[in-house]
Amino acid sequence: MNNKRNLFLLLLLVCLQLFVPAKMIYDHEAILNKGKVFKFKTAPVDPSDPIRGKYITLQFEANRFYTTRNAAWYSNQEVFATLGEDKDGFAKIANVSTSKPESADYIKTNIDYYQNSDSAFIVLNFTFTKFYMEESKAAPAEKAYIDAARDTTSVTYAKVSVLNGSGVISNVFIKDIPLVNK
Amino acid sequence: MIKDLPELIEANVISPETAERISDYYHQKKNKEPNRLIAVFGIIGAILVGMGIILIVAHNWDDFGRTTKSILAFLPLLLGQASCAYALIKKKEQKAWLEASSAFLFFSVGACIAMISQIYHISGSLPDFILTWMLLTLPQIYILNSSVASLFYLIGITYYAGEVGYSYYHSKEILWYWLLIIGIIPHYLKLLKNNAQANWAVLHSRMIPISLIIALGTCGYDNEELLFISFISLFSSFFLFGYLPIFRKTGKSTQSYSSLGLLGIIVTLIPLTFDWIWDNLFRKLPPINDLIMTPEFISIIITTCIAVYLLLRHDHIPASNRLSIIKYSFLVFIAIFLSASISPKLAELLSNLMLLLIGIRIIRQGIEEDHLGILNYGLLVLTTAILCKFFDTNISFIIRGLVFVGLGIGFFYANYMIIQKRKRNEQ
Repeated sequence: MNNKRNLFLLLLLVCLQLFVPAKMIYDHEAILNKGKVFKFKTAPVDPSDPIRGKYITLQFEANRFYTTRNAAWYSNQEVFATLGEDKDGFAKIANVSTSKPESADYIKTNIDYYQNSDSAFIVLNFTFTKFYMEESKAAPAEKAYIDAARDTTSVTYAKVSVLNGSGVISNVFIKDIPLVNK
Repeated sequence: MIKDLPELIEANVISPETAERISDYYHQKKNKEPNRLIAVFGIIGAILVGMGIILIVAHNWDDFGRTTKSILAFLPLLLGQASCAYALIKKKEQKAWLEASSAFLFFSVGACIAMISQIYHISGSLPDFILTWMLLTLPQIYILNSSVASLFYLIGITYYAGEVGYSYYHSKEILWYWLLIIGIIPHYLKLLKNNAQANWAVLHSRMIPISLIIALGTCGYDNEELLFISFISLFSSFFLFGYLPIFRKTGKSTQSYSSLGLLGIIVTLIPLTFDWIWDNLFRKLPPINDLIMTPEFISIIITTCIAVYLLLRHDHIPASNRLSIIKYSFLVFIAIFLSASISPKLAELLSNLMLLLIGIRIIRQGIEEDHLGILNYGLLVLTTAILCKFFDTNISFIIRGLVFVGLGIGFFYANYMIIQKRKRNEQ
């Protein structure tokens, strides 16, 4: 009897252990397939994670939103950033609000800090900043970026699919060459 | 015994039927005996393979497509789950199978979510990842009755506490650790009830206090000085816990808890023998109304309540034990701490006195038990107490030199006395 109960519980655990990663896959596939693709200008840096391996951290240029002085923004505040595109087709933050936008593409994120000065602005944290790579490729990717940065005509950007407030990076490009061939 | 059976039958001592029954009994007994070596190697093997898979996953094979990688992520997980189910159905009596499968499953869960994090570039922090991993493996401890899973879970949540508590300033996520550690308690109590001296119980008895010490340190924010009380209460609780009747028959766990408790009290007291800790202490602390909801204050309340509970419920340390006085350490220390509000100098003096008295108690215990190790431990505590005071004040070199010489002679004399006493007893 005890064994039967344990087997049943094991079955439940198996379902849970399969469900969580499967849900992760499902959610992210949905964003990649149905989401709108934005190009975020970025700079890669090369850190590492002891379990999940090598990745590059992306520092996005479009993380500032100019606002008014003495507004009610504060660090870690949860906000919705509506995305738009500049004249070159790169992503920019069109608006930031504390309530969910009805239409338009947005990302749910939080405020890194609020610079309350004459030209007041808020800096946003992005939820998609890690781009995992094969261990041998992360460091050369950073070097390729540094080389490319000297060339003022070259642009580094990440392609990010956005859906219902979440974003998933599909690839990073340096001078329009993708870092990962998939 | 089995070898002698034919001889016994021949001499008509036992009948052939009895001989057969004896032979069967010993064969069955032999089969039931767990082969420890196989168990140990099986478990170590499963752990190594599991960790290996994590590292192989960390390489990040970007030549494969998303679909291939996703399937590969689930392979070890399914294998681990199947192996656990097989162990539960077919090999229930063989603990090694269960433990090895459980260890493998533990790592394959980590490998699976790590690989999916890579595939979709999920930016969640390392603590978030570990939290998901630990929550998914916690039920394993109970369903499979697995101590390997429990130990790795303990390592995982301690790492989580360290990452969240020491790296992220003022993070409320540390509360998760306290919930997660409660999750392990029923399994630990079960191990203690079965046999507190068994290897798994002893391993848990060593690791749980270490985990708690690391985590308690994360409660320090703006009023870190208050943690001295929490630590003394925690160490007093360890000391009392080690003398519970459940440990009475066993040597190992008692020593591990009570020695750690005593050592902890001594080490926490050492910095408090200096005046700079006490100076301005109460001027720096906010008023009591603002203190009540701080993590430091809550940690004091919880650790002290546990110590009081253990003190009230279990008066079982033999009266002959000179160290039994240590059980009141946390109450004495709270009084000392409060005395700093009247005079920091008084608190400093009392802390010095407390450390000195603990040293003297240990020395007496060493003399009574005729134990050179305990005696020298006590002398070391006494010396530390004196030396700390010594560097704290401006005393002339001549007096410092004389005190050093005096302490050295004290060491020689005490050891010499014990050895002489032993010789007398032998005669």
